[in-house]
Amino acid sequence: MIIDVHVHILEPLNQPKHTRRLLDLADRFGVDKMCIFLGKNLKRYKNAREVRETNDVALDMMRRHPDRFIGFCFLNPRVGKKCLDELRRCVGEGMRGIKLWTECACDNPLVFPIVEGAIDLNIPILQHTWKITGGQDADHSDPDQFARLAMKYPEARLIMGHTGGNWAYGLRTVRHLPNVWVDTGGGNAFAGSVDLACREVGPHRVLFGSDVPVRSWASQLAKVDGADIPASFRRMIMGSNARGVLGL
Amino acid sequence: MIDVNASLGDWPFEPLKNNSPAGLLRWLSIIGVRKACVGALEAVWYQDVQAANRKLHRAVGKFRKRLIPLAVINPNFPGWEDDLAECVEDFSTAGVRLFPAYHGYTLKDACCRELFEHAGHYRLPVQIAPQITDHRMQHPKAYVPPASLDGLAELLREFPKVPTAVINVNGHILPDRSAVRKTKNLFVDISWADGTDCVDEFVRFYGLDRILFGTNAPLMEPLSAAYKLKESSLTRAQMKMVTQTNAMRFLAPKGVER
Repeated sequence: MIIDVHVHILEPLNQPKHTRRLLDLADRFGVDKMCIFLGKNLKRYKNAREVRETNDVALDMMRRHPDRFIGFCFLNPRVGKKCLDELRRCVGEGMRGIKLWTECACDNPLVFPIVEGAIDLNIPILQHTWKITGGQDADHSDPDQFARLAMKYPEARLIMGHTGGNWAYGLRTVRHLPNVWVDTGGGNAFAGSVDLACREVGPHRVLFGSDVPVRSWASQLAKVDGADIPASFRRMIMGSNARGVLGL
Repeated sequence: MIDVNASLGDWPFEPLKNNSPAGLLRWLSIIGVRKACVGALEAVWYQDVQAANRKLHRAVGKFRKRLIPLAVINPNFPGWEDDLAECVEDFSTAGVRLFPAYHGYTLKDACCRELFEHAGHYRLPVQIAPQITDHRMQHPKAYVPPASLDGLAELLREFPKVPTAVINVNGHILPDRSAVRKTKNLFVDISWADGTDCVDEFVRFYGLDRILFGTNAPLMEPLSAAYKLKESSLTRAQMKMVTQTNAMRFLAPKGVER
């Protein structure tokens, strides 16, 4: 079983014709289940209403295809206390994780109540991270900030999105943090990247993610299928690790 | 299948696997590639690229039936004309590969135009690589953002007999379709194409006869390009165009073994 922990339902993928095409592609590549979040569009700093609309897209997809889509609740920490209401609403309707993106850096205290909510609800958080050479804005989390969050909340299950963008740096940063998993999605299929992840953090902490439709299953599965790793590692990365993190 | 975008040699920032002729060919064979255009990776960073071109020539040696050598030329460096002449006359190079971002010139610069003049004279195709690694992940002390493709349309129009492939292009760095629509000598490779249905998008954007199969190996995993074809809606005949016929047209001025 392949579980993809990083899929965006961007418009028009929520329309039945386009959903069918997405599922056809998933079938072609053997992707059984997809964690979906941050649907509709990739506008940053969504307000409370827009956050709710975004999550409604995911909830609708979950209802239409419960065997294929696992919803993650997208939250903007800057929305404030309404965040926790939205989290409870979404988890109450079956979502199994939280997605945090680029609204504020993840070591900002605004994020802490969300992490504490995730701990209470026993669900993981997938935090977008990217250490960008050439500079990044202050609301964009890098692996160092992510590691600080993971150290502050060792009981939280945290997924470092895109393996920190710069994999060599990101993997080193979280190597000794057992509550951290890394997601392979995003970026080109640079050779040896999944091999490196297995060496640095161990295959049990690597999750297959694609970043579809921004990226393709073609390029993203190639990272894992092309890796020089044992079949048992591949099975862990493709599905069994995610089952554990998601409590499936 | 012909891979138009492969390399041999070392990269300064990480050890590479499958970067020898035998290793690369073994790796590419897994996805069905029979022939590959190769340039010297070291030439991306060398000031004097010719040392790398000579090393490539020696490496290709007995693999010549399957490896098609391309000369990496820096037209912004004194004596590049001699480098190109040596590559043509002594190394039987099949084309030129350019890295404007790394070698410090733009497609609008006079030196680039002169390079195209020479390519036309030698009947060589030209590849332009605006990038070769993701700039967001580069070494902080060796940061090279992608080259602009401004000036490409003018080069294509001025040198219509020089087949020109822009390689390593994605959604952020793409030749402007409106600017190149009236030209027939532009090709693009799929090595960096990404996003759901990316190959179909490239075909819609540029036309099937301009699309080339490229992997950017050994920096990138060749399976990625093969899977993109698998994802596409191309028919078997269309796939043959992308993986063979178009590449042979691109290389036609010098020709490859048919």
